[in-house]
Amino acid sequence: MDDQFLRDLKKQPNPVFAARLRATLRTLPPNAVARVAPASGLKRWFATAASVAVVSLAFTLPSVQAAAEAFLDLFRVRQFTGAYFDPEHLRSLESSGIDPESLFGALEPLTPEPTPVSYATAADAGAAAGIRVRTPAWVPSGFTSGGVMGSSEAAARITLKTAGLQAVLDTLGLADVELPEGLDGQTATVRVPPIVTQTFVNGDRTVHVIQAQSPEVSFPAGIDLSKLAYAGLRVLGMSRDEAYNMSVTIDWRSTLIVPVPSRALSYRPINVAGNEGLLIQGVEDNGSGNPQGGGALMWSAGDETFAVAGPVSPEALLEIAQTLQ
Amino acid sequence: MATEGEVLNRSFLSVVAAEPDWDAVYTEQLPRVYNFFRYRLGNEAVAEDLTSRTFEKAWAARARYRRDIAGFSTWLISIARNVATDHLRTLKPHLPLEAAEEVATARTPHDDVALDSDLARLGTLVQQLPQREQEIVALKYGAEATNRAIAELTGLSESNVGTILHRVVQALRRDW
Repeated sequence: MDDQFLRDLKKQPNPVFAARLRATLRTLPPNAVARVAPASGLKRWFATAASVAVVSLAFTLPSVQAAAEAFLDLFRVRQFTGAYFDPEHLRSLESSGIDPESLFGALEPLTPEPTPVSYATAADAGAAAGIRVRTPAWVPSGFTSGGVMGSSEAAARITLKTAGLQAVLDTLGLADVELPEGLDGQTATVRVPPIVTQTFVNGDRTVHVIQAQSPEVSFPAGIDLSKLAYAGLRVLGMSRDEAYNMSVTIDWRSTLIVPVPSRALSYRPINVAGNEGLLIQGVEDNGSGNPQGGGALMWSAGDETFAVAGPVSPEALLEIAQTLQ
Repeated sequence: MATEGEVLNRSFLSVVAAEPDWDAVYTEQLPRVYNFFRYRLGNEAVAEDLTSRTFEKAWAARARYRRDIAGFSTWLISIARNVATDHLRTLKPHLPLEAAEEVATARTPHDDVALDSDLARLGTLVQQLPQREQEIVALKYGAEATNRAIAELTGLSESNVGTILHRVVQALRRDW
């Protein structure tokens, strides 16, 4: 059978396309390989994410010259994006005797430790926080209000200590990361406005609806944030290519990176009432097609940030978010 | 000591130690999947898009693939077939699948220019074939599937696949 004319039409994929697809696959979650994060695992993740967020955000914090405060730049959350990290990667830091949260030198509180206060209504909590609290018009069947909590504003000044940062880079063998000169001893100021948390309970399951004005980080203008972000992403365990691509494509003055454990959870962008949000969820159970373990949905609208989190389906999280009024 | 490239490769696809060498699998299978779509649809851009979708689906579902590396290509191509079917359905959402053949054959000015290329020429000829024959051509010459593998994928007998291929190739060569 003379079929050479058919065989001759074959060709190799464009190398640019092949490389781009390979890079895309690198960023995809290993969905079906990982096991579902149990509910307790999700709680642990939130705790871990919070501490890792401090790590990654602090890496993005540039220095502040005391005499140059008039030239401060400002970070506000306008967008969220996820970044996978390997928890084992960070545990290797702890086993080396390095506390990821104490890497950046002195953390000087500028306000008293915030204490949660219970309020009778969401409106009362909002009045104390200086925001109009939005309540969901819909919650999943069986869930009822479990109360409203508010916390006061918190602020702190962080003094960067490049020796600590360099020790981390050395421990992790990240020879490709170069810290900008002149950071040592400089400071950044973090301000976290009052946070209002509404809870909805059904037995031992709790859904949180969280609202606050955007946190702010002040830092000196002219700092190469992408370079610092690259360092943070590499510490999280991201490959050189991924970290570079992300560091140069994200607006670090308005995007909050949320570290996501690579084998326990997955994330994806999602539209919430016209705003681009971030949905983090337990990965798909092996072959079942049903993500489990709950999740968290976070987004920003105007000057405010929102999050809905709990052991319910992604659809339920989105429904709650879209009915906030 | 591992080179940077080796480290990157490990972090890329070798997530689970017992899994196949996904990096090697990607390198080997990408041309097959890509050419499957080229032969199936006769359009380079669409072929790239659907190849991406196929690998993304396969990557997300790779735990469902079990160890038999010899059968991996068949598994991957079965995903590609589904992706192609979905694509053809979306060309005209409210028409049955059979009608998508007519849609795919419809020419545009852009297509007319592209007729100069052999691929577009083949695409025009192949799209005149029934869907089953179109797919068999794409599997055989694009995905480099054996007649046995095509038989497994399509549910036809191996001899039937051979007969169909013989007839189709003769027809295509006559019009080429």
